[in-house]
Amino acid sequence: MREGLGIPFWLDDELLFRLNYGPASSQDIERVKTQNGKSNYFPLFPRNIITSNRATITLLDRPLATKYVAALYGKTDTRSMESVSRSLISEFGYNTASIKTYSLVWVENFVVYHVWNKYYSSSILGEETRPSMAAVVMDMLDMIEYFNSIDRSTRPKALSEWLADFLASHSLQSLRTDKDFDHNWACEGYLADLFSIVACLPRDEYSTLGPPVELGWDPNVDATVSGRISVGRSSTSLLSKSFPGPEVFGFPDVPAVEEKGFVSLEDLDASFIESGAFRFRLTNRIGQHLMVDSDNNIYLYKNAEKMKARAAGDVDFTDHPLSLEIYGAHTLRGCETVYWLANVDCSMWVY
Amino acid sequence: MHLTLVLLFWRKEDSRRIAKRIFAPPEPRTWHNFFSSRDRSTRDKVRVLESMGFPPSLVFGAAGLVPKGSIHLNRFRHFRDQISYLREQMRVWKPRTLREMFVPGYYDRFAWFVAIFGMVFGIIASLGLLGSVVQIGLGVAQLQVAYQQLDQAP
Repeated sequence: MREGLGIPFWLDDELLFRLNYGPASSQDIERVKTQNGKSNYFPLFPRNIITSNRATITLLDRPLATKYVAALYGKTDTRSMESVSRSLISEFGYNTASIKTYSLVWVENFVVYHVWNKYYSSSILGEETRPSMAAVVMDMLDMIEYFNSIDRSTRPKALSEWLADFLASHSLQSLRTDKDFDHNWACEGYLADLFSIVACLPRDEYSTLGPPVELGWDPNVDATVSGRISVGRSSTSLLSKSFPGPEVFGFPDVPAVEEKGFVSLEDLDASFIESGAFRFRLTNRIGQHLMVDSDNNIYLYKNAEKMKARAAGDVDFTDHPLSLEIYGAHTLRGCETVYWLANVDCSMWVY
Repeated sequence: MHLTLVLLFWRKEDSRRIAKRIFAPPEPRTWHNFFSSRDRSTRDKVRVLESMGFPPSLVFGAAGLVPKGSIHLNRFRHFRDQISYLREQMRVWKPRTLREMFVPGYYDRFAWFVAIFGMVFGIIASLGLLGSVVQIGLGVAQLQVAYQQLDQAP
């Protein structure tokens, strides 16, 4: 803790315990959502980093946060840019230089601003009470384990089918137990949002924002808006994407190759391509890589992550880093969904 | 992913220049950049490699990025469909506007040259025809004037 800044309100063991393991009161939640009477929606974390340059507001129980990151990235992950010395990070803060921090911030924001919002999946999570942060994270851990256990040679199925199977085979702690609920709605809303966080997907195919994909809001849009959260119409395309496979990441439907594999690509060269009608353009959507549009543009994916900005803490963790690094050691690589996106061994290039 | 970039940008010097233009446009002209321009070529290489997602440590061995021998479609595991689709788009590309008429297609460029050649000669021939029509018109007008003068002659 830096000198002269005082103890932040959230550094209260009882408050943190209530938020993590319950029962938290509505005042507790409001206290976390607002600061100095102002709404803190969206850039809760970055605002604190940028304006006061103090430790971030971190709510998730440390052992649980560690367990979540370990489940996503494994303990032996050495890929992330841990360029900030451990001694510079407070015991209660997250390492802003680490790409893994995104996943933790997304989890916390999801619980605070979605799960604890009365207009979010109310028929599934409960009208009067809401699950604690730990319950949601434990369900996420179950989901990671479930998707990780899927054999990579399994025939791809729609994500909605996998989620329905996951719901049927697990007893989730964050779902209401007092009343029966619509299982389809749970899969197509709340669980799809959970998956988007676990898989580190952008909010939608065209967004630079991070997850969730915002599918779990109650259908009453007026209620959602009056809840001071402006949410556009969500795309349900994620649910129909097949898994395992790269389709989850928004890859367009490209006709399968019918040619034999030994077709030479000598002519596929930038100077030759630019001698004709096509021109190159950059994109931050991995799914658009090498796609051609009607204006004769060929898109090339470019990692948008700004490492130096992140190391300086000047980064908005509610955004998606749009960098392949976040999938570098991601656990879902076992399903071959994200593995190939980043695991490129330089030695493989030279034959 | 990286192999697709190698395929497109790292086999010819012209292509590398295109990569530099797209991925790492020129740095702004500042005093700092001016004074640190001693290793500009190295720094430019690092910038291009970094922005393409390659480790900058490859700067001195970047030539090793290029796989030896021909690159075939079967080298690509994940972007095979996209590359094949791109090739197909290049193959079937046809001009849709008048402006695009003057852009050569990727394959069968001989036909494009023949077409342009024919078009140029067509234009010349059309202009010649137009000139002839004008000449005939002028000739007829001159003839009429001559007849008028003959009629008026005493």
